Amino acid sequence: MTILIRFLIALCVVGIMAPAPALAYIDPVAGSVMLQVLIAGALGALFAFKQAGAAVKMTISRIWRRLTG
Amino acid sequence: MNGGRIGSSFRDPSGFLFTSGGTLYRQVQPVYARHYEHLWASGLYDALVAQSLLVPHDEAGLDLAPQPGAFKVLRPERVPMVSLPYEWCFGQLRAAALLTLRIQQLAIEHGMVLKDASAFNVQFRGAAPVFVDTLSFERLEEGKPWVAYRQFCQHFLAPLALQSLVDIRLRDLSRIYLDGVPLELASRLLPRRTWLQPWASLHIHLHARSIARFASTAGDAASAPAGSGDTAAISSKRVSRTGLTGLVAHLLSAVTRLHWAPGGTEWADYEVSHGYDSPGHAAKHEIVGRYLHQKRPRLVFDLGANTGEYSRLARSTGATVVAIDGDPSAVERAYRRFATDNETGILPLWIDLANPSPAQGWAHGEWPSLEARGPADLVMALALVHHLAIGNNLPLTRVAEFLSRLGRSIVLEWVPKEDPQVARLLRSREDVFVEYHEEGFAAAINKFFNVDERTPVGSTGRVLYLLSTRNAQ
Repeated sequence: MTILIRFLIALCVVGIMAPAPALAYIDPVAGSVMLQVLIAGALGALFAFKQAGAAVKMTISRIWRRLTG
Repeated sequence: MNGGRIGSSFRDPSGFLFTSGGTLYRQVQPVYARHYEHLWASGLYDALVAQSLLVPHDEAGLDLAPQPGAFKVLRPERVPMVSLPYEWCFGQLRAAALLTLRIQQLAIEHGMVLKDASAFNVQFRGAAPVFVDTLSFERLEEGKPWVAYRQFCQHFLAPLALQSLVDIRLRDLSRIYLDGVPLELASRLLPRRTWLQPWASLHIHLHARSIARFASTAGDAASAPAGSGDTAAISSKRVSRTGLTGLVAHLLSAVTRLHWAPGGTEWADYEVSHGYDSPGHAAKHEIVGRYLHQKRPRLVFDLGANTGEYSRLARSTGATVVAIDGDPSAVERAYRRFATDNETGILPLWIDLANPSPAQGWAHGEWPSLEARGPADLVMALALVHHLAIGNNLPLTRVAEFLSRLGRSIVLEWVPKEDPQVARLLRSREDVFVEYHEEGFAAAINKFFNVDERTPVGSTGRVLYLLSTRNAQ
């Protein structure tokens, strides 16, 4: 009996910890997924590069303001 | 939509909308419980509502659920008038696209993602777009590609690109293709030079080719049996969170680049050439204002609203106004002005009144016709009847009958044949409109309305009528 209760508790814990079930009710379409996989890496890198550029720009302008102001 | 389930709310198993006692509710099913709880726990709901990006809701009693086993029953805030993407001007669709992407960015930051990106999930409070589907969010599974990428491109990017780069009238493709413009069609219609633009070549041209290639060779995930090799191959594909963020940022930059300049259409300059001298214009303004104060409507349909001068007058009496016009430039200008003014009480819509939005979608029941979203407390039809009667060969009786179905009261302007605006319509055609005179007009309206007031507009020859629809509820 104790084993059964332990098993049920473990099952509940696993149930809570498990990732939420996907509710993708729309068809992602194979070709769309494939393209996304192909381009996302490059677009992610581009985004990260732009973010880094913006951060550098902001830091330089802050230093410049401090020096001139 | 007087009660029961909302016609369009059946595709997503997470829940559905229904009305009861005139109030809108949403039943949330247990399958969505974890996502709903994360929406709250992650702070995403609060962030979205605080920025007016999502309609707020409160929780109602489970006893209201029309189906047993509900996880929650929500009472979302209602928008005053439901509008449909194929009724929006370019600026409205663009604003809805930017809203969707902004929400997707915020969702990713909170560990969630939009599981759909339908334009029908956006509504307008005046000129401000707002997301209305609380159940569109699901927990972000690391590595999972964005399921709604294709839907976003079909619902937003392709129609915006076509309207901006080919012809504004291609907006009407959205009325035919309710799940968005097929990318293969958009790719074929867009100019070849767009291949040189990275956003268009990636998200439309190559996207369309990739869809076609995998549909014909590997077979779509949907068409492959569950657990088969194809489905497994697709579901094993991974996109990092940085990749997902980069994809959304790239789409955002693409939408931001797309513009359309209004102008060059028939009624774009109507406000400065409407056929009135200044005293006539002032008199019309005064009479319409008096009629509006008399009726004190809560919802007004301003038909043939142009850039919304009289919509503003109706709004000043406290009414919520739907400003409808068939000219894309006029509606675009009205929308931009209202957006600049943060106007939340006037909703401009681009609708051809000679062919107004029908009941659409599955079993004619998904998206309601314009008429089904009425009746308005008051309809304004100012300088409109001659366009319908002469410009579209519509008998006056038919015009009056349709107006009686749209509103409980009507403010209607009669424009005689001698008026320069009517003469302009008759300039290049034979005058076959033998019944177009005020007696004929009076006979037509008497079939459907009681005449509350009749006021000539100064010495212009035009006449304003205040009518009450017979048997109006």
